[in-house]
Amino acid sequence: MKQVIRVGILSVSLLSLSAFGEEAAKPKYQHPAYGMAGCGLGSVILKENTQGMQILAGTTNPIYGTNTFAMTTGSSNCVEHTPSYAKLEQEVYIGANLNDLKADAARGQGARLTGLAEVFGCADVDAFGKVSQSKFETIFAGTESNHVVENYHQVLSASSLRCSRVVSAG
Amino acid sequence: MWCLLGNRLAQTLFAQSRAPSSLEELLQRAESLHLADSPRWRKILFIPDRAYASDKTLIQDPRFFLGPRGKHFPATELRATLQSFFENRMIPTGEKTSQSVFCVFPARYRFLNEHLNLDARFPDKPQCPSFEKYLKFTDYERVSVVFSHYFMNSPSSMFGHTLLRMHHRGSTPILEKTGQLDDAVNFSAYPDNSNPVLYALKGLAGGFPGRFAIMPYFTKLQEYSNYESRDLWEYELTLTHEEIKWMSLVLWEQGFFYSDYYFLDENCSYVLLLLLEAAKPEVRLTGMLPLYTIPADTVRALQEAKMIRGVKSRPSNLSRYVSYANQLTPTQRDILKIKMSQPGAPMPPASDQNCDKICQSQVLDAGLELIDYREHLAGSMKPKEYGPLREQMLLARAKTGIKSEQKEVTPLSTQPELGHHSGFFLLGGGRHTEFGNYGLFEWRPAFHDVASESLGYGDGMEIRFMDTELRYYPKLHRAELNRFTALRILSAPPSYFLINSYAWELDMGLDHPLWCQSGDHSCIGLYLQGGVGKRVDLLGSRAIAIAMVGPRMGVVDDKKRAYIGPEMSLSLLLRPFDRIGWMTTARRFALYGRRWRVIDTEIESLLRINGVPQWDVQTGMKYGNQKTLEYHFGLLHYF
Repeated sequence: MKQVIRVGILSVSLLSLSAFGEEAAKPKYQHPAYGMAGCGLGSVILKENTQGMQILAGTTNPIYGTNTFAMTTGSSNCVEHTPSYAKLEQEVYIGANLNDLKADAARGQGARLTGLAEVFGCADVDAFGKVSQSKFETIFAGTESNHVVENYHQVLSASSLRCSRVVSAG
Repeated sequence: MWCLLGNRLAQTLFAQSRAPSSLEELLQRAESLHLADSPRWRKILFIPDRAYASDKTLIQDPRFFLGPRGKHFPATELRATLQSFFENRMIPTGEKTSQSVFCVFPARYRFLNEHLNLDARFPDKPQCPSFEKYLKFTDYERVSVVFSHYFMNSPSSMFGHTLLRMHHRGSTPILEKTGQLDDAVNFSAYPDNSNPVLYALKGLAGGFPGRFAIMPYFTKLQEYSNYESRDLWEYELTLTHEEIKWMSLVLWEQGFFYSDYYFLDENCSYVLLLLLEAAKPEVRLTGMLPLYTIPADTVRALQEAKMIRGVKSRPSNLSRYVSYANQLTPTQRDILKIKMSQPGAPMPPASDQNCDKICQSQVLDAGLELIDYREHLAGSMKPKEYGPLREQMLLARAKTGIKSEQKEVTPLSTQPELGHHSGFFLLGGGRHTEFGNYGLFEWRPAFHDVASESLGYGDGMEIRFMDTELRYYPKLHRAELNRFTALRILSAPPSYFLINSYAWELDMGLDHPLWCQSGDHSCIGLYLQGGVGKRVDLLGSRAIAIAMVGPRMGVVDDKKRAYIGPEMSLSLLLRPFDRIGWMTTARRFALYGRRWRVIDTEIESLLRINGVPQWDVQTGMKYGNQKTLEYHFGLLHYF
């Protein structure tokens, strides 16, 4: 009986010790051995396999389904701000913050919207907020982040806003 | 002493003035300069300061060590590193990839170059394009330690978590405030199985590899602020540009390898401190911590090292909702209530005198935060229950055309480092109606109970870990373990408008079961108790009542008896002032074993008064266990 209790105490302690392991309990995306080569927004676009499938890394699974970020290949990590990269970055940013962005846009301002103004290169944050609110229905008509990027590009190029990283819709 | 210093100075000057040298010469110079003992070198190798003499690094990955036994011998590793530079060794960085030692270990190179002038010896060292890119990208201006507050509904997050926010250079003030485009540095374990027992065993034994990762800060904001609804506290550090650069170099080196991850000591918070020491080797952080590491203690260590420049909060989804909801008028609350219960009900027309456009926008702002909280909504997750209502509310909100005010939301939590320290011991004495007077010693390495001041901790949270109470009865000449609480968790969060919280508890350890005969001190057994219930605030958080019901079970050693039965309890916590906590609990239970049962009531009361910081006086009484009564007084010190 003493043995049983000893084993019992041990398991109870062990189970309770596991409480210290913050993070460890969550299912995690396994980083490939790239070291720190992925950085900033680049770090979310790691090359996952030979097909060049790219997914968001380093966050808990329930938040970001892999589908949201399944994109075609084309950019490496720590990439410079080329136009094609700009669009990819916008797509990642919008996908990772979509719910909050919609709420911010509906309110005409907010932290995520400020970030988005920067990602689009729009200096006038207030005006960007105003456009996001007034064109809410048009911008967020699609449910996928790439639709939202396209819609934003159209709305922004049709507006009087100056945004350095928006390709005018042609 | 001066003589020695002069000698070293001469050697350094000599080293820098002379051009290329042979490996032997460099090795000799490194040895005479005692480079392997330098704090910088030790921190690059991730060797923490410990209470006992040890040169062991935390890195587990064999590829990190260029020499044999490098894990234990920094001097051997230094020699092997120099040799590897001479050989331009290729280091495996992936299954099929490898990179030059110059590109994998830039921090080691920089350190040795500063002392041995390696640049002169290796004028044609290999180019490292991906490292150069990385360096350009990680040209951070400032660094903050971010504390993610206690999250009671997940055992792995109960003690909080720390990560780093890396501030990019040249942010506009408004962008800087949002943190949206900054990066995060996070250290976490990569478990390979989800079996809880194996998981705990492996966690203790260091079976999980831990890794650093750099990621956009917004992914962490989504995860903590929204998905788990935890307030974040950001502590901006006093690191210089040069120190941040060292950190980037060390991070790059660490990025290729994994280190041990232990739950108790070498966890996320401890390893982050080690990284900060690598950036600033003269600061003492890991040496400040006891055998185990609690995230809030690491914030205190930084504070004592005077490394904190300022603190900012980032309120959680729940904090944001409560802030919105608190500003609603009764009319607005009625509208929101109807809206949430009847998603199809139309909003009052905009011209409605009772609720105009501004009024409606406020209702919708609160409603949207409420839905996001209930849905744990983050990223681009689809709402499960309130999808159509959320869309409808968003559209209605956009149509009001009203820009919401940028208001400062007060977080529901308080700064973790303001709270009492996480461990305590208690010395005191008491009297038991049957056994006479006793001396009392209680020790608890972690963490908090509701009778202590709640500043810095969660409202209605309690975690007692390895709480051990020893007694000495002089009359009986007997010292005994009176109680050992391996783990007790109580989560009784407050409820808010339209947010109905439930309470739960879990308790396990060793105690004296009720039917033990008087004087039978060997009668001690394992117990396990759980319960669910409800908290009711009677006078705000100054007086709260918690009712619980659940099973209790256990096994007693000597009597070879196992028992099980229901238990219900009613607790009343009074806090007339912040520094006074008075908790009284009445329990009624019926326990059944083979051919016997016990039905009894127990009443326990504990009063704790905080005097000076980290010191409390405590008095308590307990009635029950065959109508015995005991009471005690004691002095409690948090450490």
